Amino acid sequence: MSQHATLADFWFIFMTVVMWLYIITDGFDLGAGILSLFEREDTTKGLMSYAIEPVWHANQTWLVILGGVIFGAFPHVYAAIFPGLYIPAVLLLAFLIARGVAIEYRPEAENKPLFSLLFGVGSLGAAITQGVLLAAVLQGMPIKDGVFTGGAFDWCTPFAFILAAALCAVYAMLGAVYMIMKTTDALREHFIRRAKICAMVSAVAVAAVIVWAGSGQGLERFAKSWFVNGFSFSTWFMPVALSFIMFFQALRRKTYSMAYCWACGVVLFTMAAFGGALHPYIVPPDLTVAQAAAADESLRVMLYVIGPVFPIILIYSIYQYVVFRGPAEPEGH
Amino acid sequence: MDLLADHVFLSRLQFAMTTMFHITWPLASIGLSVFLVYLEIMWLRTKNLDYYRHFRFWTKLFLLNFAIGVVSGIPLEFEFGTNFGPFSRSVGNFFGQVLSFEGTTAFMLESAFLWIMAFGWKRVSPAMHFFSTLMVALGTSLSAFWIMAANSWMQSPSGGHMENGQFVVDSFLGALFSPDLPLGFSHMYLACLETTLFAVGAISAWYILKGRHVDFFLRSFKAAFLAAIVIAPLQAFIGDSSGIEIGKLQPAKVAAIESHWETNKPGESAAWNMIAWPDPENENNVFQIQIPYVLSLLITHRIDGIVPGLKDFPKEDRPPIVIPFYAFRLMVGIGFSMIGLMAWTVWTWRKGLLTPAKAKSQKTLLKAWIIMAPLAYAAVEMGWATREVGRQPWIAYGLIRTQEGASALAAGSVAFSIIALAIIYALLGAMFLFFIRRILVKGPDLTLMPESRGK
Repeated sequence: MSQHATLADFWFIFMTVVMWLYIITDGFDLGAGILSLFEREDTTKGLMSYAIEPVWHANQTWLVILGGVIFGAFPHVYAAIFPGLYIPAVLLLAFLIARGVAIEYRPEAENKPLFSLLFGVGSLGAAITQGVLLAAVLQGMPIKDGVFTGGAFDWCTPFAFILAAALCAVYAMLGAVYMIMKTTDALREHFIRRAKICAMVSAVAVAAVIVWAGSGQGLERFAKSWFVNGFSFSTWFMPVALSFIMFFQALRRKTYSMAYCWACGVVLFTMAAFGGALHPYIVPPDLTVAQAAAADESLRVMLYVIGPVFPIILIYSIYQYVVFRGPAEPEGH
Repeated sequence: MDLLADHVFLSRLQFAMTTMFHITWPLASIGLSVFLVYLEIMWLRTKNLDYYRHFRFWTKLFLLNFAIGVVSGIPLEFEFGTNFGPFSRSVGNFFGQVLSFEGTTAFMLESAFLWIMAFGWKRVSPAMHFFSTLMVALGTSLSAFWIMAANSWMQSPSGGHMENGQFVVDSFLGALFSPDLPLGFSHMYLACLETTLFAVGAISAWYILKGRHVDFFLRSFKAAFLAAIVIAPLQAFIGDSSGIEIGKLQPAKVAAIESHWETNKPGESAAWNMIAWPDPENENNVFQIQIPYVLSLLITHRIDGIVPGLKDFPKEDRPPIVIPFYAFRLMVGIGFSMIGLMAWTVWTWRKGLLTPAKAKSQKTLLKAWIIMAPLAYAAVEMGWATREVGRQPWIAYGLIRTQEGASALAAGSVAFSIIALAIIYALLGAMFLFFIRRILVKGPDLTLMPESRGK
């Protein structure tokens, strides 16, 4: 394998890891927002907003880093897909703005239900648009000479909405587990029930995504990669199923941080299955990982800068969660 | 209305709108984070509760400001992909890397320590708290560095060459530290500090004028003033040096800023147009009020220095003139009125009128301070308008034209996003002002006591 391909593959994996970090961190923020739509009491919605207030900034920053890593390591992806995904991308930004403002301005606001609504709708909208964007890349975008040649609404497919629904369900599952760790007594019991429901919905939705990807039109590469023999399918998806089982097990044993870890496992193993099937393409059917990557020298410079910084980020990110661990209180408000 | 059907114009308009809105907030995020470091140092050293309460008060404003900065900034990163895809691809070996460094080294740092700084007082030790405040300031300042490195490279691309429409990096450090960076970054970083100082000064002046907590706010007023007295003249000096540097790097921009058509002959000096209205069709000015010698002096610091006129550049390489010309004059005018305000404040202080008993009656001076805050913001916007419009028709000066860098989007799509973003940003701005007003009217909590760990 050429050096360029090795470097490009490294950044492909790194990009996936950053995306995973985004999903498992901001995922619980967005999940809390989605779940808040199902709450009746505005004080509960408020508590959910306060519970993520100390950490959502940093969590959302993973998305900014993901954007930076795609732009830096795969400029051809960045340049080609975003013009083609203009409408969902702009909508995602609008929803993220609504969500962020709702969390940060709620403490000062008098009309709290309005901010609860912004929080819930912003979170749900962001989750849906993220699912749509992800699906658009997985199902492929025609690119000629580095320019997207499809239509402005190509992203609008059944697969996009199945994936979006699954992403919402998984976010809600993460959000419910986070809320369990942030509450006590009756409210905690409430979120334990929510977590169970969300996990069941997630299991069905993730299965639907896999089945659709494995059989759907225009998605043949997934079937080809997964179903060459039964063994390969189970290698990819047994860990996902196992993570779901262990999630329920952890809830039963009341080890909620383990439940969170297994939820992260669900995401990780599903992403690995899709990422593995996607490779060597990054945006099928025209753009491979190696073609999309920046020049070797640039990839190396990124490695020298981000490589040493990355462990430090992980350390202080974890430190931040440790400082604000325990039941949520409206800090300083 | 051809312009409204031109997706390149619309993409530029959208980028201008989003950056001009966005930059308002990082200015104070950067400045206030540094001001908060100062307040915490003073609190730790003097144990004077006023400093602690100041810290808590300005933190509240910082948070609301920071939130708008973050949510309005995310679209910018993605707009490079959505609206300027071909540019992103051409410069993909350098530009995206810099933005990825901004995310990893700066944004994560500031957002992870932000909440410890704001509400972690009782959860961490005083040393750890101070460290967090430092990290927030470091994060905001680093992000200024990276974004200015990216922008300076667009002003004076270096460290590589174009090959088949692709920027090939010969030296990454050479590209990162482009010729424009030292002055470009200094000018902007000082602008952040300066604008914040005038904002802090204006808010403090408002309380003093109202006779509320005069003692308390004289402290922040004087701190802002003492810092501004150094920074405002320093900024004028850096600005002047930038003029000379831009004269070398982008002579067409200088000619546009000055609406200067004819190159002066050797041995003669170029006159400076104080006011003019350009007529690009006929390559001259409809009218102009000139001061002899001044342009040569400004741009070259020599009485007969040669300043190339617009006619020296092919028509298709000339930037628009009206915006850089007037934006630049507004910026400089505001900059000098700040220095004037400094002199006036020194005068008043020396006469012994800035004491808790007398300060309130200095109505005109305090009002001048209050007006200076929005003007300071306006100066930054005008500076950026000069810098970016003056760079046209290039997106990366001399390498890639803006026309070539824009995505081939349907004009309708861009029109949709402009309207959506304009509405959202207007709401954000209105909401910010609404809540800031409420917080200011409510005033600081002068009963706050320090919280320590475990309480």
